[in-house]
Amino acid sequence: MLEISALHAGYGKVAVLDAIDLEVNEGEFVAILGPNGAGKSTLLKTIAGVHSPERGTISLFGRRIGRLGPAERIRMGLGTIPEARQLFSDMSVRENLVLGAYARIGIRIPDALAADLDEVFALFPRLREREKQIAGSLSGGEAQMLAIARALMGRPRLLLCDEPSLGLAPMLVREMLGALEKLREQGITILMADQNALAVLQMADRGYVLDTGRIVAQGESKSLLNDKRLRAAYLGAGLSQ
Amino acid sequence: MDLVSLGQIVVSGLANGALYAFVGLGFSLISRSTGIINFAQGDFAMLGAVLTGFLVAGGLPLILAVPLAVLVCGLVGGGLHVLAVQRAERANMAQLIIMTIGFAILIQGAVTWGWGSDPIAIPAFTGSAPLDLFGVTILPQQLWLVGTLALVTASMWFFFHRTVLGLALRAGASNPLGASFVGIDHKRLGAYSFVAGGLLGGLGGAVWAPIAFAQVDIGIALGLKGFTAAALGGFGTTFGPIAGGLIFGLVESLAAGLISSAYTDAISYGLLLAVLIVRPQGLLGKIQRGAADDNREEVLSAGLMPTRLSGHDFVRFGAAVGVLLLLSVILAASWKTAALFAGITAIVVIGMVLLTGFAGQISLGQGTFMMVGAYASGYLTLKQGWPPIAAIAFGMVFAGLLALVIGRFIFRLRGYYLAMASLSLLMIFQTLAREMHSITGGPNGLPGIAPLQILGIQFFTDDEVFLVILVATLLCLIAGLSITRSRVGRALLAIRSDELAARACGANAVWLKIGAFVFAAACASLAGSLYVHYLGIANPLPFSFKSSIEHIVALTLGGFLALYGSYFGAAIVVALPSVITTVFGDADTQAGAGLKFLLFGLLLIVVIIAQSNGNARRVSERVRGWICNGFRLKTAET
Repeated sequence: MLEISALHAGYGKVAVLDAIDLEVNEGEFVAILGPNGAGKSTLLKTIAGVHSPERGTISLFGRRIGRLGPAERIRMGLGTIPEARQLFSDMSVRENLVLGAYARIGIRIPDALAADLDEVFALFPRLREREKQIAGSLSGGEAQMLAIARALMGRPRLLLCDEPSLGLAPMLVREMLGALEKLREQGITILMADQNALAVLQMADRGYVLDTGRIVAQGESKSLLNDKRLRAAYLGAGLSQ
Repeated sequence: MDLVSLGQIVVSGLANGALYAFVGLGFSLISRSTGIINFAQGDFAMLGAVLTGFLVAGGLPLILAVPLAVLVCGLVGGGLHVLAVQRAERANMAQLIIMTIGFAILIQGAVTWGWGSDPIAIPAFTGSAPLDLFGVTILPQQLWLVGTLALVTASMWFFFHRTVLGLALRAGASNPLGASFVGIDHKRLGAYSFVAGGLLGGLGGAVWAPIAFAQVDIGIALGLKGFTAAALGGFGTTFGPIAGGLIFGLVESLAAGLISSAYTDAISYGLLLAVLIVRPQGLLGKIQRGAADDNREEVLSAGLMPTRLSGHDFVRFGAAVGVLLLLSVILAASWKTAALFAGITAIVVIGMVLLTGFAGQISLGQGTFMMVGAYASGYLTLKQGWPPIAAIAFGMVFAGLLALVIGRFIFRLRGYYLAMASLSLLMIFQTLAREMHSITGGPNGLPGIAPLQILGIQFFTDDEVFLVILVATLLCLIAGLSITRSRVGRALLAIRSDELAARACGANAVWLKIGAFVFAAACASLAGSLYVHYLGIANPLPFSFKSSIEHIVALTLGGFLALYGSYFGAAIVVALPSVITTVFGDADTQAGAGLKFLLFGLLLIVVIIAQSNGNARRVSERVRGWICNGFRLKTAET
């Protein structure tokens, strides 16, 4: 479904991604793990088309997408939950959701969105209660739900999630991961970058470990979890218990 | 005063207010969708009015002339975005705002150059027979204006709240990164909003023009008043600018009718200043809590600024002194006068480097502080018999205090409120200088100011004055260097790059910005004093808004962070009119003045594009390379 080969990216003279090869198959849940500054966000931004790579190829559904803008990628079935959510904080929850469908419906009047809105409200009932509220007034957990819901409004087949657990209380993290699990059961493929390695690897099929822009390890979640060297180096002390 | 005259005042106030509302709507629309305060908004209206007049004079019927003029304004708006704003992709907000000042003077210059600055009469849409309402006369055209405004307002509300394109425009301003994640192409949407801004301004101008005359000079005033409408009502709202425009028009008209027509400008701009100080979010607006300005990347690419005085500084400083002294010996007399004025401008610009380059704030009214210095020197030496040095010092202290008071209020909020606050302050001071005859001598000013005298030595000839200005420039340079190469300079840069983080590290952002503003004000006051001691007369004209434009151009050309560049930028600004005279032979005529503005506008735009792409840095590095290599030109690399 998603195939990346020899991808290089950076900011000006600072190289961030160094020859990344990565693959995500239909229906999979793939995790990208690694410490702060490893390049996880840059990788997801580059896949979403918000950041331009220096060289290398990205293919989605067998089609090279390196030259396409974010809107075209969304129309092909790519959805993103960006780092730090990036909501439109001075607009209402409903307006945020409608904009999630922007790439798909263009500038037409959004008549056909009622069904989509019902669908995401069914997944996150709390958002229906807050429909008219300004997004900036939501709590952290609600804002994360809105970010997921906004991505869903684009009807993605592959969902990129960048640190969705960042800044959430443990209970909310479980709730949020539960919501993603549900989406996965509905057939949405997920590529998720997170530092919360234990929780994510328990859900994921496979994982890649990224460090200073290179992939240093990859494989089935189970084998990654069992690799003592990796656990010590990247997956955090919390895992050893 | 009887009720009928009062009614008449209200009617004409509301009609003018409707025009301000049109311009204010354009300000609000562009700032809502791109975050940019577009200084050319008043000039779109001016262009709409002048074009309509031009087309009608050319024989086109009104029904064709108005739509055509409006369309052209829309195209100009879109064109400026595509050709200029989009090219400066990595420019920060301050640079983009300064770029729109370039748009404003570009349009003004082009109109003056093309059609001159004479007023053009335009026939009313449906006759000019006035309607009579209980004795109050209403022109049919005034009804046209208000009706069009109502229609436009309703469609704008619908657009921003009920169409996806409208939502997308708002989203782009609310969170540009978030907008690109949902697939919003804010380049394209930014162009749309500039087109819409052009159409709005053009429409307002074209419908209003038959009431008065179409004239190039209304551009600046319309821009300021339209901004006031938006600021008064609240920038992010649809109805705010309408309410703000009508209120402002009413206040202006009442002030002229009931208090004094001479002080109209002072009263109405006083209102703008009061609003900016008391309720900067506007009457209907909420405090903006939108995304913070992020200049980190730009600061990174600018490289590390030296943060303490080093041996290099002394070498460079010595080189600067040497070059200037050499100039003073070799320059021909006529160029020496130019060099002298360049020195005065450079003193103002040195202050602005701290204010704009380091503190990230834009002032469009350094002329105010020049006036403080000019009149302090003039009044105190002429009428009170003070020694010049004491008068200069008094002016600098007074200007500093004024900046302190204004800054204390304006810098409570982040954003670019200072640009408008300083401009309205300038307008107020210009009015006061023209009207307070007993102190300022009115428009004729205070003639007969004695040449500068320090410790009994008189500085009279151009050579002597040049020396004084040279020393003053160098003193300001030393002051600027020692501030920027210190903890304060570091803190200012930190604030500009990420205000929240800098505050968290203990930098007091508000007081640092105030400090930079006070320094800039004191420099400008010194420059004003030197100016009048040289010319022997203090009058309002040299410190008008046009001087602000020259300061901004000089600052931009010299480089926002470059103290040494200030003299360079000032020299170009001062020399340009002479160059135009030499090349075209008519710098003093209308067309020549228009051409000067046109070139200033183009220069501002081109230089900011070059700066934001890093080209300006490459050019200046190469120039430095040439100088260091003793002018041994290397073959140009790509």
